[in-house]
Amino acid sequence: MSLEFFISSIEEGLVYGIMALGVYLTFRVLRFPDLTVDGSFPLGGAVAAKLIVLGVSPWLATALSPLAGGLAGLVTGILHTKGKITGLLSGILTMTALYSINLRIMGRSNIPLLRTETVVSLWHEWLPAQVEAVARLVTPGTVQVARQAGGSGKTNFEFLVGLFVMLVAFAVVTLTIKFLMDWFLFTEVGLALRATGDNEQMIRSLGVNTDRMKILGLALSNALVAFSGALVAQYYAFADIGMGIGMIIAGLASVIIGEVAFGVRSIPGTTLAVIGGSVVYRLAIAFALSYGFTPTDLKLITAILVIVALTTPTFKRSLGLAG
Amino acid sequence: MKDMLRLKGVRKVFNRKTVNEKVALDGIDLTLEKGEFVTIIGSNGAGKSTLLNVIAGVYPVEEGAIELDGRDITSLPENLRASIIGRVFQDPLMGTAPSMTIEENLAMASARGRRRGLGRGVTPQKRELFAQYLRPLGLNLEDRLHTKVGLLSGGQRQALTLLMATLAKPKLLLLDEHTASLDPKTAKQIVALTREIVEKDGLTTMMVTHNMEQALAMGNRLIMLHEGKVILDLNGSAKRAMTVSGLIKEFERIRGEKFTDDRVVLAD
Repeated sequence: MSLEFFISSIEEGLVYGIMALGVYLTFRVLRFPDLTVDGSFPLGGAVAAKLIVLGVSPWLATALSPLAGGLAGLVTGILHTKGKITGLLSGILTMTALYSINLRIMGRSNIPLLRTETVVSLWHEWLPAQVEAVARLVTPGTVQVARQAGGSGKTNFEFLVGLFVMLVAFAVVTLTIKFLMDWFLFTEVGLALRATGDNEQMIRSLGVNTDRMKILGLALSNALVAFSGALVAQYYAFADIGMGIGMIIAGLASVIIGEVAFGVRSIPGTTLAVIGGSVVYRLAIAFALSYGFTPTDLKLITAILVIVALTTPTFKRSLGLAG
Repeated sequence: MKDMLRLKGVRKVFNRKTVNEKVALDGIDLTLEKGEFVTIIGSNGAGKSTLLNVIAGVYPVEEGAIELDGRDITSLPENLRASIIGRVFQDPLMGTAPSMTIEENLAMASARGRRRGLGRGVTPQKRELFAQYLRPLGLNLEDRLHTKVGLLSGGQRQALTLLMATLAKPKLLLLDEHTASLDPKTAKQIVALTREIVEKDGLTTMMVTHNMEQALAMGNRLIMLHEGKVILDLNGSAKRAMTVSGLIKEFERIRGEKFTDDRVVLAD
C-alpha cells in the first residue's frame, strides 16, 4: 500500500467518521436502529452538489446540507413517535422516500464536481498557500531554493503539504464535531436524551417528553450523516444516487470496531473510539482492495466484519463457559 | 389543612367492549389533605396499582376527575404531571438510568418540572448539593458520584430512586410496593428512609403495599381497595387501634358481603 493510499484511507476514515458519530448517537445513545442513514447520506451529497452547480458558495452549500439531513431525521422521528410505526420501519420508509427525493434534487443520478469549486478544492488552494507564506516568513529563501531544486515538478515541500492537506482539514472538522457532541451529551438536554435510550420510563417519570427527545436525537444524527455526505461528495468530486448504499452498515461497523478495538467506557472516549473505528474500517477496506478484492466485494467484507465483531463477545462467552 | 389530591368518581375500564372487559377502578372518591400519608392495601387485582397509574397519568380515565393542588389534571399528559408527582416503582431497576452515573441521575431528578436547557447537567455546586443529600443515607454513595448506577445493588438503587423522587419536593409522592422486591433487611432500611424523607418535607404520600403490618405501621391513614372500590378508610386513632388480624377480619367481612351480592347478580 502506497503512502498516498494509506493517507487517503485515513482521510476517508475521518470524513466518514462524522457519519459514524451520527450512527453512534442513534444506535448506542438512543438505542434506536435508524436506517434513515442510507438515504440521508446521499441527501447531504445531493443538496451540496446541486447547490454548488447552481452557483451557491460551496461553504454555504455544505452548511445547508445538515439541515436537509435533520429534516429527514425529523420525519423518521415523527413517523415513529406520532405515527406509532416501529423504529426500523420508520427509518426504512424515510430511506425509501429519500431515494426519489434525492433523484429529484439532483435531476439525474450523478452530479460531477470535478471542474467546480468545492470546499475541498478551495481548501486545497488555500492551505498550501498559507503554509508557504508562513514558511517564507520563518525561513526566507528555503522555499525558493526547494522550488529551484525541484525544477518544473513538485518540490518535496509541496508534495508533503499536498499529502497532508485534507488530512488536517478532516481531522479538525471531525474532532470539532466530536467535542461538540461530547459537550452536548453532558448538558441537561443531553442527559435527558441519554436517559431516553437508557431507561425511557424513568426519564418520563421525571417529566421529560421522550417523543421529543427521540425526534431531536434522530434529527441531530441525520444532520451529521448528511454533513458527512456533503463532504464526501466534494472529496470524491461527485454526488451519486448510490453513494448511501450500505452506509448504515459501514457506520455500524465503525462504531463496533471502535468499541471493540479501543474498549473505552466514557462518552468522550467512546466518540473518539468511533472515529478511530471509522479509520480502522477504511484501512481494512484499503488492505482488502490491495490484496486483490474488487470494490464490488466490499459490501460482503463489511458485512462479515460486522458479523465477526458482533458475534465475538458471544463466542468468547460460550468458550469461557466451556472452559 | 387544605386538600392536595381530590379524586371524584374515577372509573377505569380495561379492554372495554371485549370479553375480557375489566373494571379496574369503579368510581373512586378520595380526598387527601396536604401532608397526609396514606397506605393502600387490597388483594390482587383490587386496583391499587391502577389507582397510582391513573393519578400519575399512565392511563387516561373513562369517567371522573382528578385534581391536584386545586388544578384539574385529568387530561394532563404523563410527562407534564411528572413535574409535580414523584414516583417509586416496585422494580428497583425502573427508577434509575443504569448506564449513567449517580450524579447524572440526581441531576436529571433535580431538573424535574423545569425546562431543560443547554447548561451543564452536573455543575460543581450541584455535585456538592448531591453529596449533602446522599450523606444521610449512610450508604457512602456520596463518595461514588461518578459510579454508574447499574453497578449498585437493588437496595442502593431503590434508596437513590426514593431520593430522586423527592429531590424536587413533589406535590404528591406515589410509592408502588417499593420495598416488595428487596431482601428484608434492605426493605427495612428503605422503610425507615421513606418515613424520614416524607416527614422531613411533609410530603403528601400514597403507598401501595401488600404487607399489612407495614400498612399499619406507616402513615396516618389506611385505605383498603377491593374490586376497584374503596371498602375501608381508617384515619388517625382508628388506624392506630387496628391490628393485622383486625384488618383480615374486616376484609373477610366485607368480602363475604360482596360474595352474597355476586350471588344475587348470578341468580337474576
